[in-house]
Amino acid sequence: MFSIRKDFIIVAFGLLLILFSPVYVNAQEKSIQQQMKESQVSETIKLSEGEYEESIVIDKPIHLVGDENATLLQKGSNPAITIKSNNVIIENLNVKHIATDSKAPAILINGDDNVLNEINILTNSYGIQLGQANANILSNVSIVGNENESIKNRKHGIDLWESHDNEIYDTQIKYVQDGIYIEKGNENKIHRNIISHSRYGTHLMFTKNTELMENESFENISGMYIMGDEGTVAKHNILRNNQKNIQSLGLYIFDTTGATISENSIVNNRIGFLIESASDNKLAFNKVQGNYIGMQFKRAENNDIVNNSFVANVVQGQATESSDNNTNQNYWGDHLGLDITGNQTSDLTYNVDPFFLNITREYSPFQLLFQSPGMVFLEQLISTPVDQQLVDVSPLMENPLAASDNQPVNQGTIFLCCMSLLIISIFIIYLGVRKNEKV
Amino acid sequence: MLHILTVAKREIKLGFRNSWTYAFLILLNIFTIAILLLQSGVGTVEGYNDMTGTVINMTLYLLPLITLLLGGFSVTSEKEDGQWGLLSTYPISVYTFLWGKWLGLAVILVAMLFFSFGLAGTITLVFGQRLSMSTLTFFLLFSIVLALVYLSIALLIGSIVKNRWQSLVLGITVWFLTIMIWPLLMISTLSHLPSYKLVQPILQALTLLNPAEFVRVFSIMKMGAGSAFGPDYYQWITWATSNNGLLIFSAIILSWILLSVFIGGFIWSRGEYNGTV
Repeated sequence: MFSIRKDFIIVAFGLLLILFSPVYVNAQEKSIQQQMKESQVSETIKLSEGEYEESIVIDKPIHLVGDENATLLQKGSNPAITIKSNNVIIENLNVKHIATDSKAPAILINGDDNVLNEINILTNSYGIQLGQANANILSNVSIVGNENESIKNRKHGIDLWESHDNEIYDTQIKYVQDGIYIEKGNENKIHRNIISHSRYGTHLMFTKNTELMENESFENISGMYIMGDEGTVAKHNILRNNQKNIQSLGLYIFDTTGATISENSIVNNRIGFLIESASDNKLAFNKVQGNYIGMQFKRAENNDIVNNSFVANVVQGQATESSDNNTNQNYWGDHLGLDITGNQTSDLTYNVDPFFLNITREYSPFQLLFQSPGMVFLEQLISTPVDQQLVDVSPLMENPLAASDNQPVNQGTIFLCCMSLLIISIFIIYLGVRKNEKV
Repeated sequence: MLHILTVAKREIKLGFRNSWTYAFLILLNIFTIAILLLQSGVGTVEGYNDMTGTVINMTLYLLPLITLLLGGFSVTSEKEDGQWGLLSTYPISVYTFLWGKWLGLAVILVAMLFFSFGLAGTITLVFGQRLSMSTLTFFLLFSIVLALVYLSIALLIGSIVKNRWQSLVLGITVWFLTIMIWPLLMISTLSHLPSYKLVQPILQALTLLNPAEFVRVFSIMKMGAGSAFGPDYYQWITWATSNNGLLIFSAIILSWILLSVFIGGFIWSRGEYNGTV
């Protein structure tokens, strides 16, 4: 009697277990790892739609392609995918990180010449980590970190360590610590990536000849950090709206030499760009607009800041302990120049006087008085130490970035408008002055 | 209502037969031509730039002062010349009179602005300079709003003073306080507040009470350059750029106009009753 009851309980429990246990739809009977083991070099392994709870290690050059919604679930303390081989291609795959305490990246690459394309990663840790991995190509990758985690506990979106010649393009990264972090890597190319809501958009440490082109970094603590690097080239990047933190910056160049920063748009950041302890860098044709401080120097020497446009920054610039920086021939929106010689530069020197900084440093609400008509009086009253001033002895007359000839605006309509304004007003005045009507 | 229109018509007639109006019109013209030439000389950069700020400031220097003087004198001259004494023998209230004045002067000011902008725009174009429709509309609207608010303050001043001299002094005082030394005044007084946290709310409240600052700040926010005011003002930027922004702005401007004319009328009629004004 008793044994029957016990059997019944066991059977019932078994049924319940089957009913309520999570069912993972494995497309194939065999695990991915098993399939790879049995595959030939360069063979294509297809993953059909469904969720795979596996941590796979790739140690030979294969081609892994997912169907739509093929998702790898990362549960344990290992990466979802570890690439140890060279020439691996992974395409069209989702990786979802479920464990919250694991510090393993979603994808770890230790080999060379691998290609990742169309990968979507949801992670609580690193997105993709490259350790001593060279010439890999990462494209069309989307990495989303944990929005609710504090920034200091998040990990980087793409993390490169001692990795060279890699290309990262068309990725979208948000809610991570640093979008793309490169340490001790040379000749890496970072193109057209969009990074937001993170600590730094792109963060370079001790790299050589990194190429940053057409990236967009917004609503991060800071847009781009270039630290301890040589020969960085940053062009056509958009660094905007990095301003909500007290340490927010558009572009930070620290201890770096030989960087070429040109044609970037640095708009609405707390500080447009800050150059600290760096020398021999060149910044040209950048649009620096609407920042609280346009540019700032700290112990920076021999940098070339030429042909940039500084427009409507609350404070155009400030320098401390900096010498021999060339800040001539820039366009300053608030400079009323005078060009007597006709050489397109003003014969009046432009002094960047950060007096407004002294007012707002202590009481930030006073920033509401920015460009208030009475400010000129205050400018006379509050003096700035000369060593904090920046000087442009030959400011440009024309904005080098303004399109010289836009699409032809219909000036005829405006002319008609002006004429009709004139006619209406003359008619009103005539009605007022004519005498044949009794008042 | 009919009385208001009659007073307005009379005001327009008087205004355009007054040589002062034309003196101010010439001044306004020189100034508008200068600012439009200045603005059009800048390469087309969209939105707010430093030149926009300069032009806004130049408008703020001159236009409120002209309006305060014209409006204030218009009321006080009636008092001094005894025309109001004559008019008040008819069944017409101070409020009707003031609103008629406001309407008439508003037409004069708008006509003056139309004339200056029309002429300046035409000259700018004839000189071959480029001028964008948005620049023209923005500065025209900005000037009209500013003129209408300061006009109501001018009528308030005219109502509470006895003669042109008082009106002149009070007008210049208002202009000087709200425009010329406003930042200095704010910074020197508010930085002595007991708590740092009080600075922002008080500055915000005072900005609402200063029509020049309010119109300026709103215009800059509306042009998309609100972030220049810093993260402390995100809320303001949010409402200013939202769909209701213009509505709230108009409501505040309208209450400014209504309140100052009503307060002026109230003090005037009270004073008249007591025989002090």
